[in-house]
Amino acid sequence: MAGQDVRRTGFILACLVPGLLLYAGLVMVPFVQTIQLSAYRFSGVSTKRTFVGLDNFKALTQSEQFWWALRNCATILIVIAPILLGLSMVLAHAAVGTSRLSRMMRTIYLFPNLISLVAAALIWRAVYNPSVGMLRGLGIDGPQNGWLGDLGTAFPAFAIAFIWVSMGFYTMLFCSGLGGIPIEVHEACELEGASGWRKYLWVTRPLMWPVRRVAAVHVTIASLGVFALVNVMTEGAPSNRTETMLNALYRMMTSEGDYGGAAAMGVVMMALTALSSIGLWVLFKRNPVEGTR
Amino acid sequence: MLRNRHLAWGLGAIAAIGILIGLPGCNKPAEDNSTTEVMVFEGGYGKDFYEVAATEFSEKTGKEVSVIGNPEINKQVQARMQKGDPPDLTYPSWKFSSWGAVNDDAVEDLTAALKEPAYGSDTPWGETFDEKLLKLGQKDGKQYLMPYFFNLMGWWYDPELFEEKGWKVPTTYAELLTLCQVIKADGMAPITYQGKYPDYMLVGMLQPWIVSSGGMEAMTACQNMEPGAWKSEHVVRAAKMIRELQDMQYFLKGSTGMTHTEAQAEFVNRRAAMIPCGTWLYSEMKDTMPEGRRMKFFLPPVIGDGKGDPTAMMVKIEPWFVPKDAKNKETGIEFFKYLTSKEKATQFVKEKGTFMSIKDSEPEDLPESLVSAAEFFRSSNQLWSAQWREWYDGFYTTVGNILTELLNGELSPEEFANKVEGEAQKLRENSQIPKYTYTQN
Repeated sequence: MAGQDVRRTGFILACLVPGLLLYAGLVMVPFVQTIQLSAYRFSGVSTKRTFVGLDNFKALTQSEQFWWALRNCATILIVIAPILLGLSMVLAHAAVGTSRLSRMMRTIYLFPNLISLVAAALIWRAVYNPSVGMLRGLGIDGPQNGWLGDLGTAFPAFAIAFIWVSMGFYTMLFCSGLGGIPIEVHEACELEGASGWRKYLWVTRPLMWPVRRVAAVHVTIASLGVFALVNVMTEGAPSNRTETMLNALYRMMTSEGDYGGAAAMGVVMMALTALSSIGLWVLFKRNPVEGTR
Repeated sequence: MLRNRHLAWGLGAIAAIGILIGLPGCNKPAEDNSTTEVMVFEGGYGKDFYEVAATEFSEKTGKEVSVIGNPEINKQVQARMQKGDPPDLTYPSWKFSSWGAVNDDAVEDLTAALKEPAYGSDTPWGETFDEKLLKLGQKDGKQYLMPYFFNLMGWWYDPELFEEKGWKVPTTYAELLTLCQVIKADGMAPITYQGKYPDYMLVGMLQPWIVSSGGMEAMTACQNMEPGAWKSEHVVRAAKMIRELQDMQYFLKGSTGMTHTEAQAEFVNRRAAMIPCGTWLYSEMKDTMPEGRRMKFFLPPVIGDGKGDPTAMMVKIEPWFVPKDAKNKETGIEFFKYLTSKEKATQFVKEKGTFMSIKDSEPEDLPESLVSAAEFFRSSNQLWSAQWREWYDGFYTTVGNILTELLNGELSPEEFANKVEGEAQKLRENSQIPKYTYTQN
């Protein structure tokens, strides 16, 4: 018995150590180093580092780029993400099931998820191109500075692309959640005469709680960490109107010669991620289905 | 038992993290490295030229030189500079903050090397360069960055199209307005620009027009961040001109959102008649443009009654440097001497179709796209460079953003100038950022 116990512990250890080492090396160490680096002026192009205390954070608060990045990420999280999840839920209701039409729908909506974000960004640049773009081809004329050059339309234009590339994943997630609801529940609803909106609000939605929680966690991470799409599509232009935190961090680190500032941005992102986790925890504190029992 | 196991886990994890934290420290550069490393940006002109030169150099001197190049070399150079294990010679491109490295004292001072004889010649190496271009790599009279090929900034038109339509290349702003009206009436957009990167308009319109309005002093004052310089009447005037072209809808619709390739495609496909760009335009577009398409260079149209020299021309060098911590600095310098020898320089111009900072390296058969640029260059009485762009990256980006706001009508020309001045004030107050002085010869 004891021998088996030791063997089992050994097995767990053998499985865990590589993961732990990787986690320590690739997550924990950079994590600590980032906090450390945020207190230094470091151009990133030499070995020279000068301790500046909280100056990098102070500089962030004085930079328009930072405030736009923050504002845009917050807008994505608070406005765009709920739209995205709502749309995905509606689509999931249409796509659930085994009919040929629902299967076709799943394929169509999952497609953007299968292509790379870079390709998706280029597709949307082509859609919005003011001269040879798809919208122009459809006779929809954009503003004088172009969809992606106008201070007012650039962010909405980006948000539409963001929803398009993300929707497939959430639709599939909700689809599987809907598929997991036992057939008896549907039958009961039918007998009781519950359907449509009422059925969704009182039956489906509470039963989908675990799936919705997964979606919320995922969309939060995705919203705070928008990078590839914006980097290829707009690089934050025009005048920071589509800037995101991660893209700003990347730009500060690579082209603006401000590693210390980028690290400070990273620390702010960590703090915001922690805050959002608390927010999610509060929002999804209790499984409503379990709660009613 | 359970508690002990947890303890063991904890200790193990701490040990593992300790080892990993310690690791970067072990990563010391190897002391003995016989091969000289050259890291170059592989852009429109490729890296083949440097590779061939390295082979020739090895054959001639018996010293091994290896050339590493790719389009993202700046990131590799950055990582190596951070570790204190840099290459022996590098051209990391504009994507790399070369002046940042100079500020951090990470770049070798080449002042003494310039006094030594050039490769295969008795002339001091420094005297083989165009001195105005050499000066662009100096700080406090010391040479840190070295020019190699360089670009001239201006505007482009399609000579065939202009001839066909009977349009005349505008030399003054008034002529430009008249021409734009004619082109627009003809159904074509007069001008396009690479608006996603406001740099192109800063280089092609705003700055030349500041120079044209107030003379070089006005622009030099801006470069030197003199109080009030950025809100001077000349900056306001240049901003007004841009705003006017926008209000008259002389810019191709949507240009503000276009990348350089998108806007340049509009130009080569004749959907816009003129575009501001550096002398790399032809080589950048030659593979994607319609066969036989021609293009010619001209200077940004000047203000008729402006104080500026109408022949003033902006140049931009592509800096090379030898990192201070390099192990084979001597060979790095020697190889760069070889690359800048008259023979190699002439060969570079011929093969790549660009201009060289080495005196008399211009061959007789320049490509057509460069002929007019070369003429303007030769007859220019005032060559200048926008050094503030490299010195103050963050500020430069911000000015570009403010320009986008002007184009969007969010700011008036006066508000534009005031906002830029406000940012300049922040820069002046920031003691973390080293300040430079631009002097115009």
